[in-house]
Amino acid sequence: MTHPGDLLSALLDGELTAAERRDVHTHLESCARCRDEYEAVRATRDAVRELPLLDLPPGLLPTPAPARRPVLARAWTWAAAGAAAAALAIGIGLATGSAPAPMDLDTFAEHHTARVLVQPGFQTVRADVGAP
Amino acid sequence: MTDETVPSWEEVAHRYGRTIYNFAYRLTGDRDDAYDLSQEVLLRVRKGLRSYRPGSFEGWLWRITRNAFIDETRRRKRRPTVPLPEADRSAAMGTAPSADEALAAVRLDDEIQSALLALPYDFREAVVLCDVVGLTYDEIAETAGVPVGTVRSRIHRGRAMMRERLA
Amino acid sequence: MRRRLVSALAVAAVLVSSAAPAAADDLSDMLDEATDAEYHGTGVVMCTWGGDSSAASYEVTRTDGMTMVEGPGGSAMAYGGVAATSSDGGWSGTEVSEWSDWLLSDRYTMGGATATTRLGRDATLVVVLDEGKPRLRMAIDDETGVPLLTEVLDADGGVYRMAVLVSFTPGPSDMPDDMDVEMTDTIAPMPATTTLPESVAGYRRADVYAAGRDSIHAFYSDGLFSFSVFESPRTGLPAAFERATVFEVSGKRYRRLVTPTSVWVHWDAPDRSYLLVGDLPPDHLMGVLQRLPAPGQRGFLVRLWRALFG
Repeated sequence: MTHPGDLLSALLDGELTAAERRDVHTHLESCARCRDEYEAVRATRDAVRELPLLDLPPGLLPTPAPARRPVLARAWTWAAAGAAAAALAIGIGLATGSAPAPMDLDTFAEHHTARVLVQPGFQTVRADVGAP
Repeated sequence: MTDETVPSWEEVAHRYGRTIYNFAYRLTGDRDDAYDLSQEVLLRVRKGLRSYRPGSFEGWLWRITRNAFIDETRRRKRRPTVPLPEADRSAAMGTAPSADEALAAVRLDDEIQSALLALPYDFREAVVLCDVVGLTYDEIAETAGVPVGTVRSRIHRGRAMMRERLA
Repeated sequence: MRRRLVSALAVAAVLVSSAAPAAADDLSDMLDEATDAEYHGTGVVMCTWGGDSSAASYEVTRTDGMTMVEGPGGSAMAYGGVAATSSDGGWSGTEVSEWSDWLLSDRYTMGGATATTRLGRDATLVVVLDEGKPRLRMAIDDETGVPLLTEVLDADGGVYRMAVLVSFTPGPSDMPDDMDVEMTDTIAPMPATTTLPESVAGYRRADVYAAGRDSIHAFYSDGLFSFSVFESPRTGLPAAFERATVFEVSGKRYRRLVTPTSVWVHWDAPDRSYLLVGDLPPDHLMGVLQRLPAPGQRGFLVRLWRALFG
């Protein structure tokens, strides 16, 4: 094959088919020039990937509502009392009316497993995959 | 996030805000510009989400980000500033090369950022989308509206040019 | 959706330094060494809590900074900041965008160490003390630092969890050249405030992430054990917990499921539902639960009653 050129970056990025990958590897074994080019491009790629991720400056993200606001408790109480009376009057249970589905254990299991796996510190064993 | 659901604006902001900011910073090399740009992107996402229909969410998001960047650059009628290469700057400040590893790492980062900024825009964008944002070649092609072969070439040549500058 | 082709080269590129800060004390060094070793092993892990008992066999390979564990539920693999799981042939990956350093709580100290042999290899039997009381017994391979046997003890000295390797080969192993991983999720830090405490019963809240569209994931660790708490506005008992054991802590009711390596606890507080999953022993868990938002009936009328009459 001719010198692979662009395919060298694609190889690093996992963007080649198995056949292309084989061809490029075969070429690299016999071509010192391409090996040098491959190493050079790889070093640059690694360097860019290792650039630190900057933290978001404050103020850019939407601010979530505080979980509890005791100051408003009394106002809330009165509003709630009215709503409850209405609910009782027309016989509708508000609490269960629009309840979303229960929490998704699979997603949570995936999150926990991923976090433990990437930086386990010490973990006796990590055989569990998925929710119970 | 699966492709089938439309995320809320808050969710997009929390999940992608930092990546958008880093994308913007690596393209501009300036924190204030990156801040303004990220804010603009989040605003456009907020407006756009109303009409967004489930599809390739990341492709959509990065197209918005890219367009915001191009518009913003055009609006300001100036190219992003290119900081002095670190070698020049340290010579100007009379700082001797330090053995301190932390300092060396910071300098290296600056050099890489300078090399990125020295790339023509199309090449820089391809490299940043690939190596900072982590998109696949297909996604970059979709974002930039060019064939995958062009993306491959831009990434490879971009890296090779950076290497020339860093060597 | 993003896909990643993971090869040995790519792994070398994405590996980031996640070494724990240098700790002077022997225990920290020892645990560090165990996580760096390259080996292949097969073993059994078993967890017992009251009448709940659960066991599984597993196979573990660690090489080139990549860890792969194969168990009855599927396979899990970690490289750099990506964790991938597979239960039906395809790999599905989750990227953890950042995580804090590993820190060992100073409540742990090294107890006695005696020479022994295990699987025909020279090993050292080590006891780790938790505020002076035995918490872990390990037989550590002298050459590699890998624990060949680990017993986690409950407060009464009984074995809560045991993991024992039945075969062990030190050194690098062959890993598949390429693995096509579909990246399905990113675990992003959640800058939002959470009411979950920063430290609870000796565990430090190391990271807070967004989880799904409406939940918060707080990861706690004391360096030896760790757990995640998920805080969700969703109501209803997840199906898996319908057969769970009900237990009480300070008169409050929780449900638990025990798997070979973890305990899962579910409860509803008046305005949130909680799920805790982790490898911490029962006495630690009880202490933790007492410090987290307490169970209470959900529902509008209950909240209203409390608001009106306390």
